[in-house]
Amino acid sequence: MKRIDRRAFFKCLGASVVAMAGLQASARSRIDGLNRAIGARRRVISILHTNDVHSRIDPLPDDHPLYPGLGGYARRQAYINTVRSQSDATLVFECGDMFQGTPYFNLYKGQLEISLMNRMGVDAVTFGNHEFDNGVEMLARRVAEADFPFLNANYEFANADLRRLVRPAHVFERCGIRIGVMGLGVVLDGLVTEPQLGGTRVLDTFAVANETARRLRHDEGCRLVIVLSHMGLTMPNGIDDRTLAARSRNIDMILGGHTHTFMPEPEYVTDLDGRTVMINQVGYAGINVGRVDIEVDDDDRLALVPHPAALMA
Amino acid sequence: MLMLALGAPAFTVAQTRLSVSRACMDSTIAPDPAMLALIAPYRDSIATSLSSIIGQADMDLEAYAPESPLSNFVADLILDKMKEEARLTGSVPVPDMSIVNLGGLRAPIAKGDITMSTVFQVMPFENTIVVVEVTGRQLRSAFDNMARRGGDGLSGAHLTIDGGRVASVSVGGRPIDPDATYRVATYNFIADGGDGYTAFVGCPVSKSGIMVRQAIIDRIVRISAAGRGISAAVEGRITNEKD
Repeated sequence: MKRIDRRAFFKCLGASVVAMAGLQASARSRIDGLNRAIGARRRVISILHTNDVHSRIDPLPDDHPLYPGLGGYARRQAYINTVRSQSDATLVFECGDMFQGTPYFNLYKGQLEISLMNRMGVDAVTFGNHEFDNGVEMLARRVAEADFPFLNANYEFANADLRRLVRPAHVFERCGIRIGVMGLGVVLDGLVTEPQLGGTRVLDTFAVANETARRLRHDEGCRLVIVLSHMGLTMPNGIDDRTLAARSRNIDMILGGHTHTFMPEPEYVTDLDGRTVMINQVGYAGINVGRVDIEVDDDDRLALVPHPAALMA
Repeated sequence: MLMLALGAPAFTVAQTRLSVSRACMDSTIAPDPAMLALIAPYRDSIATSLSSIIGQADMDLEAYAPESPLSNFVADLILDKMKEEARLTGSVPVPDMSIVNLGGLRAPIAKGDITMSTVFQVMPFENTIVVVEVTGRQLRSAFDNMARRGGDGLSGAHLTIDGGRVASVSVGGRPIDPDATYRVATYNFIADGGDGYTAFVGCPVSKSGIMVRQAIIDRIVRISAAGRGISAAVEGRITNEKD
């Protein structure tokens, strides 16, 4: 499942030069222009997301066969800073497997990743299977060190600290809009051994997801319901982002991980109510940062901001 | 034309497509200096500890089927470590033999200086050493899996494979008694049924808490302290009938 779409990558490379030079600036000035034209106060919420960063603190090595020199926390921080300076509000998410893959994790056991993510101002994350690599006790210590919530709705923890620390969902309020965010993890059988799991059980994922989404939408009044997923885009067992999207209600967006998929563009799936769910996933190792801009108009209506036509090629 | 505002109460994604939905973290982005400064001491510390030389290899040690110098080296040191652990702490029973999976040995040890970095490449996983207690019947089933796989790291036992099946097998020079209890030193990964070793699932496991990587480092340091380099022979522990 961990295949890499090279075509998509090169597309990404080509577009990124233009994107970095002009995307945010031009999108913003276009919006400002529209605002002036209609006399409205439009605000933009930028949602930034990564998945499967796998302890890639530094960029990939220059002799990497596929992605030489790409990624790195310091670049991601710079990009996040740029977006923060241009959007009215920003949310930064990571969709699991932050840990494991470089000696940084072997030596510092995830402490460095958490402290850098604290510094970055990450807003929420969900668990990947590799977060369990050093067992639940160690994981609970990392979760306790984080300034941001670890969200998961479909795991039941036996470990008392994780039970206390992990929440199924969190509601953010940005530009006056309530945004509900939940976390969903991959089915752990065969991926993580029982001693590492320490009695962690996977619940009926889709039932829990729909119930959590219903609660966020109707009880919490969330205009936007987002899933941070480490289920994988498609999995042989059918517990994955595409299947969830099709069988869901009240979910607007699934930001995914686990399958290391470089999606050339977001995918749109029709849910049980005939509404559209957007799915996005951005590869691995912090090579890309996913970005979804939501516009809030003066009547508090929401819309995705399509990026300029020049970048569509 | 551009804004596809869809009505309340909830946000809906319109029939629109985002053309660019990600930014590539390439060299056009100047890294954030504060973040770089935060990372630097960790990077330096890792570079220092990874580049330190812990011993020498007298030969190239690689891992391959059915039997290889590297898998023999690691299987032997795991068996010895658990025998020592049993004697010193009693936290594990005295093992009869050991099994390590070839797939868990991710890089060779090249002749010459061995650094910490080498060992991290050989064993990047956080595997720990355990001792599993199995019946002879279960052990035979584990050997069936090993034969299907074409071999794995083995110490304290001999296996002859014929066309992916066990032709003959012995532990400590004797045939396996189906009703006897055997103690197998291995990684937690294998004890938990990894790489097809499902025969071990549910068997009593004694955890040493010792990381495989640390055991490899300890062995290399110990041999080096005695003024020697590491080496290992392929000596017919696992053979193919047809060869």
